[in-house]
Amino acid sequence: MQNTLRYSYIFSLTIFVTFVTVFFAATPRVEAAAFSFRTSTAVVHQGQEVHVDILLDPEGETINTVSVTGTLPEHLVFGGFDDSASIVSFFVDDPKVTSSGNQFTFSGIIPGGFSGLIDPFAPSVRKPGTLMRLIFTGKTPGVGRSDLVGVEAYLNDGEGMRAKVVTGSLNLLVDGLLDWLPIADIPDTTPPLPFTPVVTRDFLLFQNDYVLIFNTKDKESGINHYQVKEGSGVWTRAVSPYVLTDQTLSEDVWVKAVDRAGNERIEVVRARARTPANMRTVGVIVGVAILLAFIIMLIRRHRQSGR
Amino acid sequence: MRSVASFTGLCALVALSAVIFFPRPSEAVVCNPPTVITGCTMSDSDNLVISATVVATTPTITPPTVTTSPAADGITETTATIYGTVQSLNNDTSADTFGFTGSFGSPVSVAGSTSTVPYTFSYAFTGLTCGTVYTYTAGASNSAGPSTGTASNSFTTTSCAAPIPVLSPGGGGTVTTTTVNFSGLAYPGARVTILEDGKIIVQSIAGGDGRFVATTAGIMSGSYVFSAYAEDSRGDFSSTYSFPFQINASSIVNIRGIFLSPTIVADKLSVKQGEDILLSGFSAPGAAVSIDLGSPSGSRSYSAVADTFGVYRLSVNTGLLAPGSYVVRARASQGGVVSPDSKRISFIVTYGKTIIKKPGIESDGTCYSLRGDINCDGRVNIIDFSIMKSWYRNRKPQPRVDLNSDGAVDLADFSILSSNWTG
Repeated sequence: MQNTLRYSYIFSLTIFVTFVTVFFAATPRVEAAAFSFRTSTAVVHQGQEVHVDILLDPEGETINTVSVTGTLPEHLVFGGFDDSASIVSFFVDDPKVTSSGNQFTFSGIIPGGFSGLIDPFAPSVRKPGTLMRLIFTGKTPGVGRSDLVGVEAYLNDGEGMRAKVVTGSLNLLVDGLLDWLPIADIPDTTPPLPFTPVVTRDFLLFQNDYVLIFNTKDKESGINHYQVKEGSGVWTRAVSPYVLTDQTLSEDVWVKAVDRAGNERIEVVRARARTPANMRTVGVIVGVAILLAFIIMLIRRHRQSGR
Repeated sequence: MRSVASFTGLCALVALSAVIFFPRPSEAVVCNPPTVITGCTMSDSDNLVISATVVATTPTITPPTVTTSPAADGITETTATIYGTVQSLNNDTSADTFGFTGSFGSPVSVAGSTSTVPYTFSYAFTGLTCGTVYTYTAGASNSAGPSTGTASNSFTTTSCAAPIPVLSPGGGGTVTTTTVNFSGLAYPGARVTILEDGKIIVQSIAGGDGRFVATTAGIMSGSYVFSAYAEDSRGDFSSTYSFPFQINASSIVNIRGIFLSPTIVADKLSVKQGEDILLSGFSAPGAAVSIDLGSPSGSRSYSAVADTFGVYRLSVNTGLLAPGSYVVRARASQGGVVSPDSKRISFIVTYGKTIIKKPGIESDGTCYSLRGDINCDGRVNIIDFSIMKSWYRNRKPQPRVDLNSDGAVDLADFSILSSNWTG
């Protein structure tokens, strides 16, 4: 009985310490762009999914470029990235787990800069913005710690100056319990936001080949991947910029954005030149005309020979 | 004799009372008006005229002397703390009922009392209007009444650089997505572009007074980085001003008070010392434009006023400028509201020859007009981003891509590109 009480006491103390660590120590309080973690729970059961947000608080600065590298916590299984709520508009380094398997990294830009999120209901307060959501699942009992080991932030000053940064850390307790309720996600039935793919070329990009450039966002579950189809070809997974197979631009090009819930948004870039198709049409017309002329000539000769 | 004795006793009593109740002036600390007590004048049968007159004179008590010092502090867009100091009680024993009057509205009072000077009291304002000059006078009361407070002071709240979002609820449940209305001040005829996460969503032409409105509907709930910039009639751009928003469904968000920065260009890339360089651009009609020239040796500030067409010009003689590189930026102010800084431009003061600025592409392929416009199409957008991304971490980058010319394409170059983003 005493052991049970002692265990209960230690367990409660651990939860309290972890809670304090997550909600206070993880949020630095100094005058510099602050990168921190936020999670809805301090204790995760085995097999339970937990979402961890990486936040940016610009602390009065305007930040337009960020780079984040962090360690993946032990005792948890990494399940993926969710950029649906990210303030990053274009990723320079797409979110990925490094080859070593124990770190995650991404970088990107925020055109115009980020100076703190405005809630229209409380406009006087600027809130931190979400850079990325990490999805984990509790695996084995223990405290999983994550640190932001490489963080950069650049000011929106037109000169590319680096901002001072401070970072927080994450401590997530995975307990031995197996009973938990799944996160009640609202089903995402909305396709990704509309976008406008662009076909262009520049001698600084793929030896001046025509490329397809595209990007969009999905505000609910995030973009999973893109697919491209040229003319009557097949859908192919693609990343931007995508070098077109048909460099004559004679066929329509279709781009499909697929979100993590499987919803799709398809946009099209119309063919600029129809030269081969036009040539075929002209050839057919000329051929038919020659054939008709030949038939008419045969008929006339036949009539003349009949007289 | 009895009457004399009585008279003498009476006079002594009066004198004693005077001593008790009306001490010598040097000891007087009460703050009543001067008091004169006439004792008694009496004649007796000996024709002895004895007059006993007790005159107790106390100093004149006037309202306290109060100054508006020290200067106001804690000044933000909406808050400030002002101070008053009682310098003299002016012969009274204490002062109380402190307060301030001024252009902020109804007088405000500060509780307290003091019998010593100097005594400082303060009042912390909230809910002030940004970019506004407030004048105020401090006062205090004593038994003579309140001070008239002739000494006044002033402070100016921080300029309204940020737009003021105002939210009104959605249309009774009929609005399923959010509408965002943007309005503010640019330049006459300017093309104002609104971006959503770096993507152009709406454009608007400003009126003759420089004011613009733009609306976008169908916004889903989520986090958005909206931003706005203006393009003047010469094709030059303001800096991009962003306002990240958490949008909730079924609502109407009004973002008012956007004051876009001026545009600015120099007519020369390099100017021989002693010659003039013309800095010009567009801002709101009548706006005061402050122009800063920065160099490693210091900075100089100049001012100009935009005309009715929004054009401002400043001719700077470089005779007083040391040879070297200068970074120029401008900001406008109107009605107490100050715009963000313009884009930064630069020029060089040299002993050599003057080089006139020409639009187009330099010999190394970079574009004059817009930093970050790698493909020289007049825009900075996802195409330029894609080109730069393909050269990311390249050790021998093309000059067009290496925006800060440090020999590498890294995140600093992406930051420069991002700050010049036009969508």
